[in-house]
Amino acid sequence: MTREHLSDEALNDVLIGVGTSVSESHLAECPLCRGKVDEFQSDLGMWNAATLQWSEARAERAGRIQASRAQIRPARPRLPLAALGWALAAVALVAIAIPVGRDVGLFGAHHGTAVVAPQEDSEAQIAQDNELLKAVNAAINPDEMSPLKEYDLSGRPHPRPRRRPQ
Amino acid sequence: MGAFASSEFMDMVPGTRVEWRCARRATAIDELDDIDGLVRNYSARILRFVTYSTGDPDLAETITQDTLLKAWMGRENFRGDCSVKTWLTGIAINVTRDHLRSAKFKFWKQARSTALDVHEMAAYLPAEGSGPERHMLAKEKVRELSQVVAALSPNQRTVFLMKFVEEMPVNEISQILGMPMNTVRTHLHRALSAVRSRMGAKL
Repeated sequence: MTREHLSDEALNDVLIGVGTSVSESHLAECPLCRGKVDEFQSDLGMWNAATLQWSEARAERAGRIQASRAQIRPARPRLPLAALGWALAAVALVAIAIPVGRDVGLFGAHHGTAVVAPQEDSEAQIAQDNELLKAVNAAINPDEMSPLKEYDLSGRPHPRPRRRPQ
Repeated sequence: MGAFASSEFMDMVPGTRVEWRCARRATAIDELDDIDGLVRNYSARILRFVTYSTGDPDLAETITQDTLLKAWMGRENFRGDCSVKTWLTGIAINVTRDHLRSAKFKFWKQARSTALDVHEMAAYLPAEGSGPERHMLAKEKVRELSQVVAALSPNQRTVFLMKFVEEMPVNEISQILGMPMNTVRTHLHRALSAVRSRMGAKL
């Protein structure tokens, strides 16, 4: 057995798992080379443990987020929003359909807007209205002098009130 | 992914290889049928592998989900040539390549920079009864190793992860990557040399 230590290439081969029997027998008797291999494997083991813990925690967190999203989704008030949308659509449809239907005579004359026939006024009603109009006319009689004009309180001529048609 | 040509050659030899493969395939198909089980058993390992492959934990989560979904949807294509873990790793590599090639990924990579947080990873190192000083030193080593692995070239990093994290034999790595065994060994040698020299006296 040679006391020369393993070359980097031979050590790499051992670490990769393709070491020769000569390398293996050297490692069995050389604490320095054995130590290098052991230390690499120990560091690698720690690294694997830490990274696996990290990825497990992250995967679990991602799973929890997805699960909570899935729980939240059905609880969302989707129905009222959908109902509101349908209601708006229905209103819009009715708003369009009514004028169109009226134009094409879909509803018929008796279903449409009622045409109110003018009621015939009685003679007594006409006389009463005339009396009322005369009273109003007398109240705003233009023959009466304005107090401002009468006492010359304003330089401006008092506008003549318009005569209301009878 | 590689064509597993050597496995097909072995199938021509009359004997137990075909039966063994069929039995393994049947077991694996049962395993692949259970999507919850797949997520439970493999998502963390795939996430770690993809996180180091891409250097982006957020993207790695997306790729992990895509990988598991793709595997579940294509479970009938599993031939039983390898373990489920190896098959999933192969799918993860392909999905990762697709993502890295996509223009969308390149755009987002420029727009934002989510780097692998090696400090956060080191914090997950189990204490295992060691004293605070030893634990701190161990965390420091984990942090350095993380940085060294992240700095490897893509090919070196992939074969390093497949060999030393997924614990795959060289011939399986060669088959999955469609890479000659000697090339895989060369990448492994370079990766190891880089890791050992960067870690210096610590290794």
